[in-house]
Amino acid sequence: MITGLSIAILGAVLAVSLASIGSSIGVSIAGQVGSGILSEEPEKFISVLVLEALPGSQGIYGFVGAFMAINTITNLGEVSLGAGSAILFACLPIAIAGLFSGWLQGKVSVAGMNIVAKQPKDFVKAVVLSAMVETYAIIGLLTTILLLGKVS
Amino acid sequence: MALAEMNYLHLIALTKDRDRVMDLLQKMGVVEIVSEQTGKESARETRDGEIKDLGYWLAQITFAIRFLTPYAQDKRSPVEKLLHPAISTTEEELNELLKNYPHQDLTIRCEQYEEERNTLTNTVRSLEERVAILRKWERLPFAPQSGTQSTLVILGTLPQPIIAQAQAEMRHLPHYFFSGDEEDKQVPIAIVCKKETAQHIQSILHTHGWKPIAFAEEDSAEIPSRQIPVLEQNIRALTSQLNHQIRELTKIADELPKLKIVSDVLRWKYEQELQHPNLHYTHYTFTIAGWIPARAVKHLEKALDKLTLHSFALTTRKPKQDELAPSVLENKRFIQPYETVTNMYGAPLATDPDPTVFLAPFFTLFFALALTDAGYGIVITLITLLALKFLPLSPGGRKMMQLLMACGLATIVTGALFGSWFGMVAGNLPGWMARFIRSVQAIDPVADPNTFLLIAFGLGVVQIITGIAIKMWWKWKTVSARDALLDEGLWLLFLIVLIGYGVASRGAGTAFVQWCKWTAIGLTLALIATQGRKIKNPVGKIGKGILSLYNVVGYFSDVLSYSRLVALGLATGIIATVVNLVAALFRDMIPYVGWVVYIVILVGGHSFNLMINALGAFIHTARLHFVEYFPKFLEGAGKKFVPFMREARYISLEERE
Repeated sequence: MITGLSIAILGAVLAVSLASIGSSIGVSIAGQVGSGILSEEPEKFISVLVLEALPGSQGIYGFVGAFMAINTITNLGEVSLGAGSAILFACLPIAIAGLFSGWLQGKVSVAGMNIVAKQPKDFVKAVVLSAMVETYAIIGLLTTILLLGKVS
Repeated sequence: MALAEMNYLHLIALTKDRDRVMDLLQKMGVVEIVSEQTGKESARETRDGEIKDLGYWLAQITFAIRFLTPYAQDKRSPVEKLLHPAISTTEEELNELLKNYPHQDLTIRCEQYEEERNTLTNTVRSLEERVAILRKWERLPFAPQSGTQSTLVILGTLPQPIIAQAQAEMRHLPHYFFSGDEEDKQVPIAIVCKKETAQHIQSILHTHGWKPIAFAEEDSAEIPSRQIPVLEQNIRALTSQLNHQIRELTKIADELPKLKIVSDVLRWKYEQELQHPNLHYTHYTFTIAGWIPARAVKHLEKALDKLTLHSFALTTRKPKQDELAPSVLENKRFIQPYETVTNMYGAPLATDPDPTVFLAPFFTLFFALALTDAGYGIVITLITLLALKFLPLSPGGRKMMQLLMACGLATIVTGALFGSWFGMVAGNLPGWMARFIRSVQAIDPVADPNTFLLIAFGLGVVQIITGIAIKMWWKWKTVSARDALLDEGLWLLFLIVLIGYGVASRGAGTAFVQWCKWTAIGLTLALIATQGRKIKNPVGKIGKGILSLYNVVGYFSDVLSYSRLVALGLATGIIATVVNLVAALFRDMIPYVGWVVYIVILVGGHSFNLMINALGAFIHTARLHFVEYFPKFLEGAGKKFVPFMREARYISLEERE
């Protein structure tokens, strides 16, 4: 039976899963390219690792969003159908933004691997470029947190 | 505040002193030599031969170091290696080694050793492969190539399940059938048959997935069981040769420190040679042109005086209007660590202000807000403190550690204000701890994210206003007071009034709201009237003025960007709390050793969280500066000052005066 609680749980599940999918894709494509660099220049491990790890934050943001949702559920005690749906919708910003920004940030990290390979001194620039994409996951997370605060 | 003052330098000295002057310049590392176009190209020296020669030996010695390193037996402990990675040496030892050390012989020997080693290992590998093949045929009672005038030996493998069937098909043809180990999927098969029937047999075999096999020439004439020991004997001999070589190389590897010293010195010589084509010559003199920080001129003059016994001429001048001088950051010691951040952005334009001092307070504060955990702040402070005390850091590394330490200290403060200590929930703690945490806590960000958000936006407004104010001040100083007031001055007023209007219209104070409203309208008109003042065409004038109002949208979205501080700050605390929860869960679930698991999860989880979030805090704080803050007052990208200097890869020189 569909209850407010189960709908609210769906929200938390989506926040974690979609954002984590985005991160998995992003980290994996960046990791594949990174291995290519490491096969030639193993000493660049740290730079490659940082660049690979960047698209990983979306999964963490998704988790934070889910945690806030669970918090809200706990605080409510009894979750009505309306409150449950509200929680589900509130989870969507980080879920969807996390999915796409993690994925696409991975692509920017892949491109940044070129900088690591050819201009290792400009490594930070590659990191900043990649972090630009993360902005939108952060905005998503923030929206989720603010919206969850309004559920009563 | 401003970048270091740079001078353009001309240095003329006697050609006989040239190498010593170049040595001195490289040692002092205060001049960036440039190639000056005079039109008299004949007065230069290309030095292609020397560059090629030195380049060759440099490559050789680099190879030798790489080749020998795996054989080196460094008896020092890993801690000691970490603490003292550089080889310390003196100027005298350098010159002595460069003059007398037979590094060329050594590198040639290394080359020979490498060739020998490769041949040996390759031979051993191919022998081992041959043995592996022969092993499968070990029970073959004759040599693989022992056909006679009328008979033929056919060798190959058949898939194991098909052998019986193939044999049945061949029964009517006279032959001798040998099959090897039937455990294999592909069973070795040898068939001796008459030459006439060979073709028939082969065609039968081929229908059953037959794979013919060819032995190495030397192995075909001998019975496998006799050939194997011969090959193994060979392998043993070669391996012992290899081991002998490894012992030799281990001995030679003791020379590595000296090789490394020579390689650094050779690199310096090489860099010198690369600079030579930039010099101009007359009969007895040579000229160097380049950039030098103004404060270093006196110092250089003094050193040259001593070296050449007054026979030199040095002139300096300020950069011309159209010349782009390289940029040197010059800050008080307290601010210097923040140069790391400026350098990540790239050198500012020589005519721009040095942003370092303006970013320092904001950077520390924003990093602290993006991390917001007092516990993590303490950890960062301790780690950086230990690193600064015990690790031999490069100047750049030192600055980075000092920067992180300042950020860590600030994080302790923000973390305490936000009540986050390793994500612990105050309610679960012993009374005195909870009382302490609560007594210093100012807001609870998880329960009240809106306040945190307002703080972040407020800081964003402050930083952007500061940025515009810096631009105004700089323009006032370097361009004209009029432009500074009409551009940045008007905008500053406009933004402040807008914010005043926004804040006041939420509360009471109607008179003030009215005043803000009319002032804002007045300033809007003023902006429309002034922003297009450099354009002649009156329509374009007004158009440019109206378009400039669009900047408001830019400023607005800039401020929104600071909300990231809230998300990052909250994420740290929440994940820390989750780590504590999960750890406690395991502690209560596992009997007896639960405490061990508890501690492992706590340490691992918090380390991970700290690393990920400190990285995130740093990157996003840097981004706020690079994207939102710097463009408000920096015009463009400059050229970094790259002095001609000694860069050591392996050694550290002991200064002796």
